[in-house]
Parts: sequence; C-alpha cells; structure tokens
Amino acid sequence: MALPLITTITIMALFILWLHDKKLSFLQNSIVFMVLEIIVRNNATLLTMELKWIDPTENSFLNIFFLMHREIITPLFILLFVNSYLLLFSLRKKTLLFLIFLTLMQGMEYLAVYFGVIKYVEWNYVYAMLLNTAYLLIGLGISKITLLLDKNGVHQNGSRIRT
Amino acid sequence: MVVVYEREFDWNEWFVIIGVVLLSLFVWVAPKIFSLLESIAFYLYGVFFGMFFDHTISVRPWDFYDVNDSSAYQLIDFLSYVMYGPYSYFFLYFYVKFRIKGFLNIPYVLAWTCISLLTGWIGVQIGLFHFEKGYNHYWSLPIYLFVQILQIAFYHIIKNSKDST
Repeated sequence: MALPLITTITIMALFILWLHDKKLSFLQNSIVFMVLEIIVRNNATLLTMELKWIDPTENSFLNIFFLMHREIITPLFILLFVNSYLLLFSLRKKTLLFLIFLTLMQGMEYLAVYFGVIKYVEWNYVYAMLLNTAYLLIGLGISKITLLLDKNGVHQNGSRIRT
Repeated sequence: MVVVYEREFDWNEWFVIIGVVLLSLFVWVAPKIFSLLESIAFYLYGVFFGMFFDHTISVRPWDFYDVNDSSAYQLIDFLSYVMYGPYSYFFLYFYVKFRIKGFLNIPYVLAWTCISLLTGWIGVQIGLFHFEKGYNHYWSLPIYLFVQILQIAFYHIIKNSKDST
C-alpha cells in the first residue's frame, strides 16, 4: 500500500506542477529544487545516520518510499508552494497557502510514520513541523534570490547581461 | 556501527580540498559563456547528483560503499560532493565551447565517462571510496552515462526555454 500511494502522490504532484502557473522559470525552479534537495537530503542523513533521532526502515521497498519522500515529494511541495506564493498578493491568502502546504507536508510525515518508513526515536511531529516550516521559508528565500539575480540580469563575471 | 578506515589527514583529504579549491578557481577564471543563474545551475547539478547517489546507495539499507575515512558523515564528505560541481560545470562548458552536436554527443559523453571512471579509480586508490558487498567501481558506469546524458538534456531545455522568451 505504501509504495503505490507514494508513487501516486509523486505523479500527481509532478502533474500539478507541470500544469501550474509558474512565476519562476525552468532554470530558477531547477536551482530552487536542487538547493532544497541538498538541504533536505543532508538533514535526513544527519537525523537518521548521525544523530539517530529518526530510525529509517531496513526494508528495501519501504526505502523507496523514504527516497521518494525525501528526493521528490518534499522539494516538489515546496516548489508548488513557492510558485503559488509568488503569484498571490494578499497576505491572508499567502498565510492560508503556507498553512495548507505545511499541513500537506505534515500529512506526508504522518504517512511515513504510519507505514513504518521511519520511526521517531528522539523526534516528534512538532520538530517535524518546525523543520518543514524552515524548508518552506528557505524555499521562498532561494526563489527570491533567483528572481533578484534574474531581474538584475547578472552575468557570471558580475556584469549585467541586460540593460 | 561506525566503521573507521583510518584517522590520518592524508591523500584523500588533500585530493578533495585541492579538487574543490583548484577546480572552483578554474570555474571562476574561465572566460564566461553562461549567465550567473546558468552557472549556478550547472555547478549545482554535479553536487546534486553526486550527493544523490552517495546518500542513496552508500547508506542503509543498501550501503554499498563509504566515503573518506569513516562510515560516519563528515565535513570532508560534504566537500567531496562539492567537488563534483566543477566537473558538471566544465562538462557543459566544453560542450558549448566545442559546439557538440548530433552523434558527436556520443564520443563526448564517453570521453567524460572515462574521465569520471579514472577519477573514481584514483578515489579508490587514495581511500576516498571504500566499497562493500561486492560493489565495484565499474558499477558506476551506467550512473555516469545517465547523469551526463541527462545533463545534456537539462542544458537543452534551459537553452530552448531561453530562446523561446
């Protein structure tokens, strides 16, 4: 049940992102995705392998759930959040959007625990919520930096491409 | 359980540090042919995929190899992933410089795959990689091919989306 479910969620998230209006270009989205991915991956490795606050599954099939959650779902949700956020103007709508995505990410966390993909040792849903909040805010920060760099049209050597 | 292979600061550490510093310096001084965002993306690509495979097949439950002096995650491990950044940057840099097109893509990718295999082999000799469970260096061959072909596709998508705007 776990593997078909995570695959379905991944495909749907990819499909929604593809159809979604995007404020960021493909290049900007790629940069946000890769930076987030590196952060999420390092955090996951530190929490599971080094600090051992979370115990990951030893089951190879369930490990695919863990990988898809870490490598695709989390950064995809953040990309969806960022692209939607940048299209909104009202603070109320932005706050609501933030809460919706935080709930979705917490839901994924719940599913991972429910299916035995991860087991909390010295970790809980509140910590997970704080970490997910940080991911969403970092995603927003990186996207704004890429927008700024693109708006300024900065060339690699610091000169401007466009005038 | 943490496996410690050695505790000395020797060739594997110097290989990573010199690799990161020197190659990043080359990126910095090389004539600019990409925009800043493109350069960031092409540099990140190597870090992203290097880290992806190492954090996937070199950790439990697969755990096919360890990186550097111990199986624990260290700062030097992180730097060794950063070292992939200049490789992916220069992969596209020379791709554009040499105007690689059509079937020339094949020898180009194969040449870089040989470079990757050679770098990996050096990594094994100096204790950067420690293989387990029968994993061999040539197992990385399809990974190198896949990542490099995907990077060419990545470059063309970016180029096409830029041309269309």
